Parts: sequence; structure tokens; C-alpha cells
Amino acid sequence: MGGGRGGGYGRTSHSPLDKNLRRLESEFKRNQNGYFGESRSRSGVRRISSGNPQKSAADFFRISKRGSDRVEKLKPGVYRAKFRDGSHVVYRKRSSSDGSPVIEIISKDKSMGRTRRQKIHFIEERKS
Amino acid sequence: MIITRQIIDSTEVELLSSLVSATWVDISGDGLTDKDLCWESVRIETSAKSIELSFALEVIDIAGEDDDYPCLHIREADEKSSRAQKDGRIFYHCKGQLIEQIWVLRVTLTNFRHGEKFFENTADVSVAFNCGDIWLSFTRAAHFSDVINIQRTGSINEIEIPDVLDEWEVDLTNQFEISQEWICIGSN
Repeated sequence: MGGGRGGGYGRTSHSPLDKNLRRLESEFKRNQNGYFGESRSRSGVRRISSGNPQKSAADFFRISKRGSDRVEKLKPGVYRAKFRDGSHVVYRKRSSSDGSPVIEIISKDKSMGRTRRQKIHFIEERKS
Repeated sequence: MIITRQIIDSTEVELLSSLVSATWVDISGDGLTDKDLCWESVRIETSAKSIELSFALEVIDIAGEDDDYPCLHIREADEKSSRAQKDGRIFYHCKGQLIEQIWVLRVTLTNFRHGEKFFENTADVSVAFNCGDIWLSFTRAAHFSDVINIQRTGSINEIEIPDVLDEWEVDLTNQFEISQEWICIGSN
């Protein structure tokens, strides 16, 4: 298990969300520190490029919400899946900043005694 | 260098401080899904007046690119939401307790890229009310989130504050410094 800041994403954790995030690794690139996608200006916000950002974000949310206690519609286009351990995933179909869909993950890692946070924008893949 | 501030203004400070010496009534809100967590905003009712405490997302360029970040705002609240009442989204913990002190946690994050200051962001991230033996606090869940963690602790020092440095990616060329300060808004 990785130590230090940002290291090891609770590989021994048995939380449903953590299992879901590991399932997502096969479809979405994830680095050794547990962050999905690529760094966005090192601002702590990530981005995943996709040919269909809306579908990718919806797929990400569909898998990450499995095993959650409940999924709430917070307002039109904003959904939150809440897990029993206090972890949650928020899915916004459209962010105010650039209009891209966004996933926010706040996961409680009890085995490490810490909370992990990441935000991912799903953006249109650049065609070269 | 990019300098940004997400802090409450003097009118908001005044409104918060006017609650000192009032008695706590309840918290409520459509986004209050359980006693420990709410989304975007919460209505706090006291014997003096009722306020809405929110961490609504606003588009800000903190680190060289626009993104949505939560900004603390305090304003006088509207009537209690009928949906919150109907759905039981009201919690009465601390009802009748005197509000003795109110504090705000202000965090300054400084980013250095290749050894040079790149940005400095100052944000109010938590509001804590001391009601007798209990501290009731409302803290943003992350620097990008409008989720609010509600905590009840025995002291201000026990309030769990998200580790801001955990949310930003650190490497040899991208370093951060953080300073945080509890500011007393009012005390009786």
C-alpha cells in the first residue's frame, strides 16, 4: 500500500465505492495515486477526454453509484449517490465553468483513516 | 500571480455576529439529507433571526483556469421551506441553547511552481457556533464541492477540516503552503 500524501488508494478498503472505483479502472485511466484522467493545470481537478463526454460521465456515475444507500436528484441535472460510510459521488450533467459534465468523488477510506476527494471534468476528445 | 478570495464581506460578518446571545432553534433545508450533511445551503433559525448559510458554486479562476468553486455566503433566510418541513429535513439538536461564540475558519493556500508563487487563494471554509458545551459547525466538504459537512463537537479543535493539500496534486515542481486561522466573529 502506498504511503504518503496521495499515495495508495486504499487498496484494502472494502467500501462499495472503492470497489466501484477499482471496477472503473478498466475503462478510465487512473494513476497510482488513485486519480482518474489527466491533471488539469495541476489544480487538483482532473479531466477525462472522450468522444462522447456525456455518455462517459453517465457511465462513470452508473458504475460508481452501485451499492449506494440512495441516489438523490439534487436539482435538474445534478445527482448524488450517498454511501453508508459517508462517501458520496455527485454527477453534474453540466458544469457552470465550461459546460462539461462533472463527477465529484468524496470517499472515506477507513483503513487509511482519511477522506479522498477528486473532481473530474469529461471533455471532448481532441481530433488530430 | 493569481490572487483570489472567497471570503465573507462585512455585511455577512455583521449578520453572523447578530446571532450571538440568541438561542438556537433548528436547522433545515431542502438539501439537508441527514443530520451530518447538506447540499449547497442550510437554513439556521435562532430566536433573533434566521440565516441561510450557503456554499454555492461560483466560476472562479483560482489556478489558471476557470472552474466551479464553493463560496461561503450568509444572508437573511426566507421562510422555512415547506418541502423541508414535509420531508422532515429539520434537526433540533441544540434547541434552546445560547449561542455564545461564532467563529469562521479562513484558509490561505499558496501555490509555488518551479519555486515561484503562482497563485494564492484565501477562502472561508467553516462556520462554527458555540452553543453551551457543543460546537455546531458547517464546513465545505472539499475545495470544489458545495456539499456541507455538519459536525457536533465538544470543542472547536475537534472540528474535522478537509485536508486542502490532499486535494491538490503535489510534485517536485508544484508545491503548496497552507495557513489557517480561526476568526472570532462574535462572543458574549
